Amino acid sequence: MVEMWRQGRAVWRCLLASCAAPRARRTGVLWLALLLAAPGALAAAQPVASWSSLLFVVSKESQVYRQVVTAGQSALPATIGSAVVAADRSDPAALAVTIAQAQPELIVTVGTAAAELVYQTLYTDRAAASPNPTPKPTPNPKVLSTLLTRSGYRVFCDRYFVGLPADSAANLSVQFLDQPLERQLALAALIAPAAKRIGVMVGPANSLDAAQLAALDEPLAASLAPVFLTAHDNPIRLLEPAVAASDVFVPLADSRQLNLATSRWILQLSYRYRKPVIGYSASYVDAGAVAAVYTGVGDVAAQLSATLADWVVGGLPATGSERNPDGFSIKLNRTAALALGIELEDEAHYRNVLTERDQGAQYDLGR
Amino acid sequence: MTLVDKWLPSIQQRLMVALLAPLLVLCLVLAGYMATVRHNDLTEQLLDSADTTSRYLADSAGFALFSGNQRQLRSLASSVIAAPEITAVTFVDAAHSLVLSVGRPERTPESGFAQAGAGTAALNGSRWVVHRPVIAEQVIANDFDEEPSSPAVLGHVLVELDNQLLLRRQAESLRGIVLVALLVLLAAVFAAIQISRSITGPLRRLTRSVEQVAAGHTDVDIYSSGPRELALLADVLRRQLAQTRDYSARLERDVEKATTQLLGAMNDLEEAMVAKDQFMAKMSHELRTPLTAVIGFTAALTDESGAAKREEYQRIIASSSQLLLKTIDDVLEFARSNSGELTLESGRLNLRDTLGDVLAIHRERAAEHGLALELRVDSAVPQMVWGDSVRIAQIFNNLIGNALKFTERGSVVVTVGLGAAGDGTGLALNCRVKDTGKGIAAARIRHLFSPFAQEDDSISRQFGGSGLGLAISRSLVELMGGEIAIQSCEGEGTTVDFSLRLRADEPVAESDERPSQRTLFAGKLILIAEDHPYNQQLLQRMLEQCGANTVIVDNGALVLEELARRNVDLLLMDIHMPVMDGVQAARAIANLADGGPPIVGLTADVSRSEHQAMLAAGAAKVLVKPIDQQQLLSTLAELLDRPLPVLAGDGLLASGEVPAELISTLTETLGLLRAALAGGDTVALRSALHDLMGLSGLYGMNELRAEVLAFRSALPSLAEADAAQRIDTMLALVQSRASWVGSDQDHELATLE
Repeated sequence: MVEMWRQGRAVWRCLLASCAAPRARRTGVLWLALLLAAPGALAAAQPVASWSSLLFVVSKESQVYRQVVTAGQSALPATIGSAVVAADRSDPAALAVTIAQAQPELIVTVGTAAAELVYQTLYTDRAAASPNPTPKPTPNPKVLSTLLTRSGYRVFCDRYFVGLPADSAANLSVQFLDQPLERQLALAALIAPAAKRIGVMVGPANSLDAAQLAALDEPLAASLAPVFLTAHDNPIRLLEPAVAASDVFVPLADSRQLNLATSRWILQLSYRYRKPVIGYSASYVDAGAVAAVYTGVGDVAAQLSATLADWVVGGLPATGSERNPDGFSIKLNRTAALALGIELEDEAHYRNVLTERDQGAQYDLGR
Repeated sequence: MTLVDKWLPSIQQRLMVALLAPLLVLCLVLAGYMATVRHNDLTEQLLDSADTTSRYLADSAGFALFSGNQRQLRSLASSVIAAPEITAVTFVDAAHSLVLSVGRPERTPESGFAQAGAGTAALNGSRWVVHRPVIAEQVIANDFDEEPSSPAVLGHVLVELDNQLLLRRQAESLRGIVLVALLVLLAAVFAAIQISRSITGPLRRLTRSVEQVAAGHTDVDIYSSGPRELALLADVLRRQLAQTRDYSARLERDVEKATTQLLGAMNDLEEAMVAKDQFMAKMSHELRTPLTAVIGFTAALTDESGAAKREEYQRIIASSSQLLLKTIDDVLEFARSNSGELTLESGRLNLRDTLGDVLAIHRERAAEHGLALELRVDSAVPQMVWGDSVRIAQIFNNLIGNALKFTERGSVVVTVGLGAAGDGTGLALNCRVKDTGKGIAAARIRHLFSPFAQEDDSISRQFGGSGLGLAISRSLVELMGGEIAIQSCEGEGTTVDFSLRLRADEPVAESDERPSQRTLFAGKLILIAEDHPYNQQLLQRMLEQCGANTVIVDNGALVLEELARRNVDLLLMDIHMPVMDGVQAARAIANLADGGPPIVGLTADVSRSEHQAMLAAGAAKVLVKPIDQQQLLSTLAELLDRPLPVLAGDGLLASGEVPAELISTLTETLGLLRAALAGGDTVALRSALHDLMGLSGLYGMNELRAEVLAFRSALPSLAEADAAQRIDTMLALVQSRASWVGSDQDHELATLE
C-alpha cells in the first residue's frame, strides 16, 4: 500500500509539473510520469489484467478529484500504467494527441468538465471542424465517467452522442452522482414521520410524470404532491403554494440552471412557511435544508475503486452501462431543524434505516 | 505719509483694524469652511440615507419582486417612505418594467436609471435619484458544481429623495453658522473696542496731561493707570515733571537770587557811579588843590626875595608835590587792580624789617599828633617769609596811614600773629591795625572798601587822600589769599583785621653735597652795572666771596660793549644809571642775537611801574634796594642753575664786620643830603636818600634805614631845622656803628660835621 501511495504521489507531482509547463512538453511529461510509476506499480501488482493503460481526466486539480483518482489508482495493478490530465489545462486536440501517444485502453473522467472534454475528443467528428485534424484514436478506448450528474449526462448525450455509431456508446460507462429518488423520499419520511403530504419539485431533466411519482407513494405513509417546473416558469409562483401545502418538501436534482433558480426560493419559502426541506446535496443542507441524502466524494471514490478492481479482474466490459451510486451519505442541519421544531436522530440511525431499505431495492426509476 | 497714516490716523483705529481684520477673515474662513463642511455633511447624510435605503430595499425586495408580490413591495416601500427626505420608491423588474411605485415619483424609471450608475445618487431637478439592482444571490445546490455562478438580477429599485429638504437643512445650517459667526464677530468687536479703549484711553489722558504740562501747568497729576508700558511711561513723565518742577522752583529761586544780586549790583553800580562822580569831583579837587598850591607858590617864589619866605614857599611846593604824587600813585594803583594787572612778586623778605620800615615812615607823624604807634609781632611769626614785600608794606602803609589820619588821641597798634596754615609750606598771618580814633558809622562801613568812597565827603576835605587806599588794600589782601574786615564803633575807634597767606621760608637743611658759599658761583662771569662806586664794590665783594668772576661797568652803553666782548653768565644791572639806564639797556640786550644773559634789575624805587618796565624790557628778576644778601644770592643761584646758598645773619654786617668804606660812604652821602637840602636840589636830595636806603638796608643797619625812611616820608613837611636835626640823628647812628671801625674814620666824621 505504501508503494502504491508513493506511486500515486509521484504521478500527481508530474501532473502538477505538467500543468505549469507549456503544452508542447506536457505529453512527454505525462509519459515520463507513466514510466516512473510503472516500476513501482509493477512490483506491487498482484493480479495480471488483460489491459495495461489507463488515463484519468479530471475537471481540475483539486482535492476532490485527487481523492477520486487516488482511489482509482489504488485499484490498479502494477501492470497497468496510468496518467492524469486536467481538463481545465487541456483541450480536445491536446487530449487527442495524448490519447494517440499513450494509447490508453481506459479513460476515467472525473467531473463534468472532464467528461465533456473526453466526449468532445472521442465522439466529435473533428476532421471536418479543425483545420489541423488529428486522427481519431484507434481503437476507441473505453470510457468510464464518474462524478457526473444524470442531467449533465443527458445534456452531453444530446450534444455528443446523437448520431454516433453504436460501438461508440457501447464503450461508455457512467456512474451517476444522483441518489435514487426513493432514498430521498425515504429520508423525508424519516425526518418528518408525521408528514401527510410530501411536496416534490420535479424539473424537466427528471423526466418523471405524475404516474411514476404516484407509484412511489406505496412504501411511504404520506402522499406525494409533485410540482412540475419548466425553465420558463416563475418558480416562486409554483413553489410557494406547493411548499405551503406540504408538510415536507423534497426538491429533486435537476439541471444546474433549474437548481440554481429554485434552491434560494425553496429555502426562503421553507423559512417563511416553516416547512422542512430535504435536499439532494450537502450544499443544500449547508444552505438551509434540514437534511439531505447525497453522494459524497468518498462514495464516488469507493465505487470507482470497486469498479476498476472488477475490471482488472474481469477485463474491460464489452458494453456500456449507467449506474446509480452504490453508497450514499447523509447530512443533517440541526440548527434548521431546531428552528422548525424537528427533532433529529443521529446520522447513523438514518443511514442504517436507509441501508436496510436498500436491501433488494431496485432504484431504476426514470433511468 | 503712508496709506496707513492716511486712512488710519489714530492708534484706536489701527488697533481696531489690527484686532478685527484677522478676526473677520478668520470668521469668514471658518464660517465658509463650516458651511461647506455642513453642506457636505448634509448632502452626505442624504446620500447615505439614499444608499442605505436603496441597499435595504434591494436586499429585501428580492423575493417580493421575484414573486410579483406587490403587497410586500408596498410594505417595504412604505417602511422607508416615512423618512422625510424620501419622496418616492419605485420597483421595476429586470426588463425595467414598472412593478410598483410608492410616494410622489417625479422620474420615470427610464429617466431615473439614465442619471447615473447603480448605487450612485444623482441630482435631477429637485430630486436626488438613486437606483440599485435587486439581485438574487444563488444557492449552489450541487456539491460538485464546476461552473461559476452569477447572481441573477431580479429587478431594480429606484429611490427619489427631496433636494428641497436638503436645501432647507443647508440653509438652516448656514443661518446657524452665520449667526454664530456674527456672535463671535460681535464679541470680537466688543473685545477689540475694550482693548483699544484700554490702550487709547490712558494714552489720551496721558497726552492731555502732557499737553497741560506743555501749556505750563506743572501741577498736573499724570494719569498712570492702563497698560504696564503706559504706566511706566506715565511714571517716567511724572518723575520728569517732578524734576522739572524742582528745577523750575530752583530756577525761580536762582533767578530771584540773581535778580536780587543784580539789583544789588545795580545799586552798587549806581552807588559806584555816584561815588565815581564824587571821586572825580574830589580827585579834581585833590589834584587841583596841591597843583594850585604848587603853581601859586612857584609864582610867589619868584616874586619873594626873603629867605624865610622862600624857604616856606619851597617847603609848601615840595609838600604839595608829594601830595600830588601820592594821589596819582593811588589812582594808578587802583586802576591796575581793577584791570587785573596787579600781580605779586614772590621773594624772600624779613617781615619784621619790612613792617618796621613802614612804621618808621609813620612814626614821625604819629609823634606829631601825640599818638603812640606800636608794632607787635608774635614771636611765632618766622623772621623770614616768602612774599611780595612791596605789596605787604603797601597794605600796612595804607591802613596805618588811615588810622593815624582818623585818630586824634590815643594810639595806633599794629599786631601780627600766626594763623592756621593751609598746608605745610603755607603761612597765614592774622594782621590787625587798631586805632582809638573817632570810629566809623556802621552804615558807612560797607562802603569803605568801595573805590572812590570815603566815610564822609568832609573827610577828604579835612584829611585829604584819594579814598582809594582801602580799596587797594582789599585788592592786595585778596590777591594774597586773605580777607579784610573792619569793625568800628563811633567814638571808640576802628579795628581793621586782615589775613595774609604767605609762604614760610623753608629751612635749608645742611648738606655735605651743598657747595660752600665760596664756590657757589665758581666759574661764572657776572657783569655788574652800577653807577655808584660803593655799590659796585659792595656787589663785587659779595659775588667774589661766592667764587664768581665780576666785571664792573657804570652805564648801559658799557654793558653792551662788555657783552660784545665777553661771554657773560649773568648781568646784575641797576635801573638808574647815566648815559643809558637799565631799562634801555635791557631792551637792547633783548634784541641781541643770542638774547643776552639773564638780567637781574636793581632799584631802590618801590613803585610798580618801574618794576614792570624793567621786567617788560627783558629782565628776569627785579630786586629792591636795600638788597637782601640772601635774596640776591638765591635769585642769582636760581638763574645760574646753582644750589640755593645758606647764609647766616640778616645782612652783610651780621658777621660784625663793618667796612670802613661803608662808614665813609654813608658819611659822604649824609653830607650830600645836607647840601642838597640846603640848596633845594631835589634831585640830589632823592639820589642821596636812595643811596642811604640802599646801603643801610644792604648792610642790615635797620635803625639808620628807619630814620632815612622817616626822613623821606616827613620831608615835605619838615622845616629846615628839623631836617638838619634828623640828618644829625642819622649821622649819629652811623658814628655809633663806626666807633669800633677804627680811628682812621674819625677824621672823615669830623670833616662831615
